[in-house]
Amino acid sequence: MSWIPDRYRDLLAMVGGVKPERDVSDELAHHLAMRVAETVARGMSPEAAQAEALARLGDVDAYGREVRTIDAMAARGRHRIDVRDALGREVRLAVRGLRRSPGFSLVVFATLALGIGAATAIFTLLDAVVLRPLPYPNETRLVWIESDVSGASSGPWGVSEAGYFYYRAHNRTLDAVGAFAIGDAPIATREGAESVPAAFTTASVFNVLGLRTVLGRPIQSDDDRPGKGSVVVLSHRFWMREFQGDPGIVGKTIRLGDESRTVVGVLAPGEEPPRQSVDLWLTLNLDPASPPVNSHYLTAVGRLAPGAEITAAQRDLASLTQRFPRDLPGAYSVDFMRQYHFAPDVLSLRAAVIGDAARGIWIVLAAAALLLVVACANVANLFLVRLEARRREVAIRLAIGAENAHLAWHYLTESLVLCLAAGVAGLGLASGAIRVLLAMAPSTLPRLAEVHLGWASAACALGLAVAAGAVFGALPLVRLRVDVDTLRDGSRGLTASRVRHAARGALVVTQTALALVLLAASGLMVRSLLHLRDVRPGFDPHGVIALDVGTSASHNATYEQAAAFWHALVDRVRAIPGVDGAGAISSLPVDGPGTCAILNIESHPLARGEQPPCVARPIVTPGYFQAMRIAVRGRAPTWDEVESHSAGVVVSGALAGRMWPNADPMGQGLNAGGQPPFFRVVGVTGGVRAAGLDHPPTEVVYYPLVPITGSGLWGPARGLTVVARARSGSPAALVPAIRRALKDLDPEAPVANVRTMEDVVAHSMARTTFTMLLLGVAAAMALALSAVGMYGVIAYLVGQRRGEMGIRLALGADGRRVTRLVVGESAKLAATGVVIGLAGAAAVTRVMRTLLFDVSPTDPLTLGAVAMLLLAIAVAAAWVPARRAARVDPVEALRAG
Amino acid sequence: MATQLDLVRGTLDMMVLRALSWNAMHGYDIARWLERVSDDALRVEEGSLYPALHRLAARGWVTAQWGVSENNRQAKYYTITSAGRRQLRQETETWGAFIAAVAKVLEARPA
Repeated sequence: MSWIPDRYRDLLAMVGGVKPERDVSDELAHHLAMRVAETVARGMSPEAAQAEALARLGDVDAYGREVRTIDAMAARGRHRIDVRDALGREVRLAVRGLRRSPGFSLVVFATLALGIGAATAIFTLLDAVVLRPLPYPNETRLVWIESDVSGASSGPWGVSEAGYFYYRAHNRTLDAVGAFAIGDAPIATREGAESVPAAFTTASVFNVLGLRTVLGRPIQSDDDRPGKGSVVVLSHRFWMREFQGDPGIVGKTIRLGDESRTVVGVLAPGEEPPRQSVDLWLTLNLDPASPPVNSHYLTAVGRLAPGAEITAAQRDLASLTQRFPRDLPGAYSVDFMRQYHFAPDVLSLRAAVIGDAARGIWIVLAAAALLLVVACANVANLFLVRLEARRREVAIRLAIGAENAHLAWHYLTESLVLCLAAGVAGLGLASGAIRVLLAMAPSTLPRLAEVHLGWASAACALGLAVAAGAVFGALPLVRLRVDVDTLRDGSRGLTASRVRHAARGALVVTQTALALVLLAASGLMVRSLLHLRDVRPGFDPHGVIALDVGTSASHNATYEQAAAFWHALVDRVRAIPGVDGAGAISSLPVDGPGTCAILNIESHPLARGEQPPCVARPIVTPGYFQAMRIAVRGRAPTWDEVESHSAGVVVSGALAGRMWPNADPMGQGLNAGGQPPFFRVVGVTGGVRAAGLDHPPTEVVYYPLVPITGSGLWGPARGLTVVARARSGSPAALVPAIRRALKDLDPEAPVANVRTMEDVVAHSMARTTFTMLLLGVAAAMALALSAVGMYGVIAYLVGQRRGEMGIRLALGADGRRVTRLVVGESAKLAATGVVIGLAGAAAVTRVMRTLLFDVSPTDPLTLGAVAMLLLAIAVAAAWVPARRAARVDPVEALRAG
Repeated sequence: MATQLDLVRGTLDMMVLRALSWNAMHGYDIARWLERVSDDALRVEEGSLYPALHRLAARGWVTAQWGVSENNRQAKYYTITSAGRRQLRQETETWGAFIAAVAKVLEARPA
């Protein structure tokens, strides 16, 4: 261990704890021996002497133990003080060294703090959203069950009631299965009727998720029997908000629309269904005896039986599903199964909750890591420069007898102190950055409530700091073989050594390459966002307010009642001063296409065994298209037609193009059942992107509120989203008037989700915007850091080559040539970095494909632009030192050299 | 009981410091010295000297070093430090005052 200098050996010994060489038993033995010897000398027999000596000593073992306790405590106290002193000494030495070069220390500190802060903030986000288990007991055994329908154009479906019961009764791999649906419940609050989010669940969901109550009890299977539900469990948040945490709430009744429910329990804080958060938990009261229906509105969750794997559950449920046509023929025909490729999909609950958020966060974390590497390259450069500047100091120290090892340890301590300080500052920066992130993060990002700076973040920041400190501290080890010749070699030579240049050049090249990758990634996101902004949603979102309105039973028992209610409401809203058009629809565009329904076309009767397509089927009122400024060729049905059971339908251009490519869609017949009478197409809209801006225009059939005579629809509309266009100014100003209009009509009608259409559109781009912003910040920081790095290296090179420049100028080179020489050097380094970076970007940006919209991961425009930007920055960074080189006074330079 | 024990322990520490105030001694030396100067009147269990010595060492009032005793045995010698001397002085004064006070009480007549 000769390579460890004494003071570190002492430190290690202290940390390890040193065993005393001798124990109190030696002392006691000595005492005993002396007493025996003396007594024997007085003429006593050795045995008797021994006995007497022992008696005089007392309980030797007890005294021995007491002494050992005293010694151990004393040793611990001493030890603590010694370690503190030794550490303090080393740190004081290091701090003194660092304060002698404040510029270096400050720049290293700030650069590293920035890099570590960014990496820690993003790591914290990743840890909370992706890595940490969900807050359910047995989280690793929980699964999410959905239906994969690759044959349908829409994404995965949920589970049907019949399917849920079938899985529950026959599976062999799940301990427990539960099903729930998220919906709204109308509730009277102090501000009037309001819709609050609610989970309608089977009792088993409480068991599967292990939900805990703070008051009362969870929903039990008795509450969930077929028939009408009569109980409700409150979320902790709702209980605090609406009942101020009333401890006597259990047993009271609350009114939900037309029904009243008894509160049986309050959940513990933070207990939520996966993916959403809700205020109320109500029962589903499913009836296993009801005839099976092909409607997949339930979300199913299960807990794996001990020893069962997800793949086994997947196989188990898949084989059960194959028996659906035989056992549930009413809902699942063989044709349906074949055409939709209907199969269950069992996912781990965590994977289902996180969804595709994980990829974006990983990419941003990778960006933060690259940024950290860029920062470290800068710092490494600074350390190398400092080492260079210290060569003479080192040589002198060695010459007067310092050991290499001493110096190495000193540098290590110095670097560790500096990096740890930067790590602590980075943690502080991360804490601020997380607050900003949370404020900006799209609400579609799951588990945001769980994000906070914790032990994992601290470990990340300090771990990075220690690693950086160790690496930078070890740099001198490589370079310590400076021999004493440096001293004798009075002059430093006019050009610096090639190896040293190569090392520094390599750092700049790396930095440039990484900055290019980051710039390319954020450039691609910017391009995606610009493309998304340019997409025409098919309607005009500016100046439109939307709010969800529910109805009470007296207004939705029949189609006629519903039509009268919505007609009156739309008319009243349109009559509000400042309103330029109003209407209502069952599912707003961009939010999602809404439910789909089977579509039969009169002119194309189905062939045998052919399944009809499932097409989005919103219900609209007259006035909707005009209020949203959706272009309609032909016309929309009028209230007269609606109320006289003779309204036609409007279809989207995308659907018309597919169904009647060579015919005029006007007047064509369609419906869901395939039997006459058919609804007549009276209008065709332009392309509306109902499924989101990054999806193609949607196929839609807009049905009227009231079916035509002899036909049916999906029941009278219970709730619609009312849209109103403001003539000028903010559409949000219309909300109080709309609420008043509604109150006049039905004081109990609940309102929910008031939002502007602009918000709806922005919301759909939120995740892209967020990713772009994060990558953009990382790229900007990397750009700044690499510009600083480039400047530093070129400035240093120029400083080193003053003598050479002096000679060149003395021999007649003009200033411009010297400038070109220096700038050329920088451009060469940058160009190398750019070439490597382009190759890297081409390889790396491919993982971003799913985040991009309408941009190739190797978009030449983006890559070209960022390459030019980096080269320009490199030239600009070299410009100042190059001018300085050109103004070198040859005489002075040569004399100094 | 506890106070009495503490008193005994405190006095033992004081006596050990006193013993060391002339020169360095090992544990047995101290035992012999106590025996001699108190005419064997103070019957201390000799083993209790060792916790006392180590306690004094932990407080920095004595230091210890292994050496060779008169008859060529390995023995641990204790030396008083200047902090130990200060402590001894202070305790002796306190003790004197205490004894004087107790004596006054015992000699007092009924008022």
